[in-house]
Amino acid sequence: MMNDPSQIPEPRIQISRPAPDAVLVSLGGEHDLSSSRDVEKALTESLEAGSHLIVNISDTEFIDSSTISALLRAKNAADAAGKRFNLVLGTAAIVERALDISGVVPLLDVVASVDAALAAV
Amino acid sequence: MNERMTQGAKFPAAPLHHTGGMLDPSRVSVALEPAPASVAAARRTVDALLADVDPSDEFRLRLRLVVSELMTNAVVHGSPTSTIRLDLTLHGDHAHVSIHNAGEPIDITELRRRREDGGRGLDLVTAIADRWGIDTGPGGTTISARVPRRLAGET
Repeated sequence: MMNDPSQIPEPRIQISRPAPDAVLVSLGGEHDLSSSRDVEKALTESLEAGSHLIVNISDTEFIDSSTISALLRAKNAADAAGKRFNLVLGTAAIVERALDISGVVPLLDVVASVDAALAAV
Repeated sequence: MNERMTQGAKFPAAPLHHTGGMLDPSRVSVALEPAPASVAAARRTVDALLADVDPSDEFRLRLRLVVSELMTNAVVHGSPTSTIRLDLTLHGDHAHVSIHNAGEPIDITELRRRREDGGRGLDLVTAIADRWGIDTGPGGTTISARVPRRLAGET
């Protein structure tokens, strides 16, 4: 019963371009140390590919401090490059709670949807 | 304290060794390899221990987060060659988490120096656990935490 690996949703990372200058990175499933390097890479490359990085974590069921650190680094890199960053949050209670406890929500330009991120110029 | 841990091959093919729960449903002890995949395996151990609890239950979610962060610490800072043991015990009003790594002692000052990332995980643990502590020495390093069923202010 407990050895069934399907119990934990695999971490998913999807990259798309919802608008000419915007790159959307959508995370799903459970993210932790084992996916943090891939998340970091996806965020770094997506930031280079556009002037507006949108990270959607609405479909994540779990994120930990390594994911949160990756989000913060991406936001800081966007600031340093004069690019826009938005975090789309509308998600599992524990994800919101982890972000809350970390005190990073005010730093991550949170919006309610991808459309809201694209509209808020 | 708990001598029931399975010691099989050094890194067993199946990362999860369920040794305690069959006898005592409120306790589980597993040996995990020191690798990133073990962080998810540690959360799965919480799921097994709390199999009867609703997946959206706050206590279950908090315990998963604490176990995940502490396991991450053990994988990142602990010995890359020795098995990590995770013990979870369920009590009436809290769960006790213990993660033991038989490797080199952790230098606390070194851990603090690395706080930029490691600190964020421990901040999450601090916010959720009643208390936590690191016991490090020649026998290895044990991080333990007490996670209450209800946080202060909750009814």
